[in-house]
Amino acid sequence: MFINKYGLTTLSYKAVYSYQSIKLFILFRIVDPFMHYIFFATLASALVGTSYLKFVVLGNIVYYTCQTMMINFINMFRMERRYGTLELNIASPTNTLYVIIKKGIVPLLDSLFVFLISIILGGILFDLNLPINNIVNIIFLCLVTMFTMFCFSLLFACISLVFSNVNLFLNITLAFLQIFCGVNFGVNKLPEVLEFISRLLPLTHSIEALRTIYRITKYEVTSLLLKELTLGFCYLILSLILVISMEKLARKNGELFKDI
Amino acid sequence: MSKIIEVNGLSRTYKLKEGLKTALDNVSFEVEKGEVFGLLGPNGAGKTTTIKILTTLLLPTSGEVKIFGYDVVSDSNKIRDKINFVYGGEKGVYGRLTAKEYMHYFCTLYKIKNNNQNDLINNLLTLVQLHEAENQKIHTFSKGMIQRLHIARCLINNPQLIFLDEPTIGLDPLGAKLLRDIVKQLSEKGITIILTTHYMQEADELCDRIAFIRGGKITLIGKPDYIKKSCNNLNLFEATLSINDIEKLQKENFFRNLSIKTIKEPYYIINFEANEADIEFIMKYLSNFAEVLDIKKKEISLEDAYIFHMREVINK
Ligand SMILES: Nc1ncnc2c1ncn2[C@@H]1O[C@H](COP(=O)(O)OP(=O)(O)OP(=O)(O)O)[C@@H](O)[C@H]1O
Ligand SMILES: [Mg+2]
Repeated sequence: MFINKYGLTTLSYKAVYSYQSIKLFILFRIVDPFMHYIFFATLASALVGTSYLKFVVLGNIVYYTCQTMMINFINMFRMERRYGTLELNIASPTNTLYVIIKKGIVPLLDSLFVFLISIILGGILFDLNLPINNIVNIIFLCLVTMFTMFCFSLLFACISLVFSNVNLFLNITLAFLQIFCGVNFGVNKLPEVLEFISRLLPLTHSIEALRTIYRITKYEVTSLLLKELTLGFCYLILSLILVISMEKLARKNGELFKDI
Repeated sequence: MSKIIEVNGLSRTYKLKEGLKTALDNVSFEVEKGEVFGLLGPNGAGKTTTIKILTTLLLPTSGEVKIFGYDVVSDSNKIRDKINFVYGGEKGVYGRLTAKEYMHYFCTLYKIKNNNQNDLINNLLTLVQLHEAENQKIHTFSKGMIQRLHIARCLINNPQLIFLDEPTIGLDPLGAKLLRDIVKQLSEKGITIILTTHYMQEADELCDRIAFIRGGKITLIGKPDYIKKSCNNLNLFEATLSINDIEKLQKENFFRNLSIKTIKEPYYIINFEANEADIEFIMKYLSNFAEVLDIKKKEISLEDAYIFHMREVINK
């Protein structure tokens, strides 16, 4: 149908994606987010009270979606490096960023699935009723959030090619996002400088928009999402510049893309 | 004949924590269209570095390199369209894919139209004798099969020039022979081939011309025959002796690089080098120690020439 059996995306998925079996997929895509939300929800309600629960769960839904995308995306490149195939991909006449984007489509779909599952889980477990009358905004939010996360992951994937210990770098970044994107508390509680930083990160605006859609907070959804969208484009341009300069650097230094 | 590769005063240094490391030092050579050109030298000589620069994956520190008349620094895209490369070893494959899928993947990367991919893949896998294993997952492949798959991959863009860096490393004799036959076939099709290997016999069999490289410098270059002849002051002998006191022979300076093989005491086969070329003289000299059953002057193989030459380079 739409799937090209021999396309870069399908073959990359087969070649280097972490989840190849349905059993594993269900376990990790339903059970794991479930545990994640329960954990943060209990933590929040124990510390601050149940009124805060929905606030935290919504923040974590967006965060967990992003985490899914980044971990799986980066893992693909870790595999590529282990197999020593990265250099062959880069040496081909196809633009490197294009190859990386193609490889990102499966993690993108994967995290979209996680997002949708999470919205359903939120409804069942935490009484987060989807505001159906606001469905246009929800779809808009979903698209924008996915796009910006994707561009951020892209940038991250490019940077990660330089590091020999990618996992450490990934964990630090995820922790950073969890603290500075207003996942568990509003970024307006941060000092001004830090709030400024958090407004340059993905997730922040999306989380605020999602909470507004669920009527937990009161912001302007459209303007938040437009800001998020702008950030996405900035990340995309940065990735493009980064890939080009990294390819130049690799030729100069002999080994930028370290094989593990 | 037209020159496909022109290398002029090529140098390359790597930055290390301890300082600069010179991997290539003022290297110059040329390769003609259709040649099989061998780069031979010890580990760390700079063979892979040379290939990386020629395939535009690495920039020269100084000097000029032209491939098809294009400069490797400024025209890398034009060059990449016309060349391809294989690095020996088991890396560079996706074990979970089948050979066919792997080929499709690279066909797409090399912008082969979907409609043409099947035919091309069939032809290439047949050429490297992998068509029967085309639906087998690569992680089940032997080293030889992986290497042949690499060759098939590197032919996807119909290159006129290919680089093979130690393509037969770790292959069993049959696997290596199969690969050599494929290389010969490619050469017959007019593809220019740059090859590195540590197996001298292989180089002798395949290469039209050979360069010896050591410590980043090319120390000798020419046809295999020329290289062997360049050792004309190298006299190798093999003798079968009946001898009682072999140790006395070992102490003698006359026989350089002496190697002794015991058949059954007191019979030995010995190999040695001598300054003297005259076999009569050698025989007379030997008969001071032993009864000479048989003696012959050995034809110099590329390996003999290599060892002789590399030793000379060190001594200088
Ligand atoms: N990325 C790098 N950084 C620093 N030094 C390097 C790098 N690559 C190669 N070298 C050094 O450059 C020299 C030449 O290496 P090269 O890999 O070209 O040798 P080679 O002839 O291919 O050897 P081998 O037969 O072992 O494959 C070596 O001394 C090596 O240590
Ligand atoms: Mg090498």
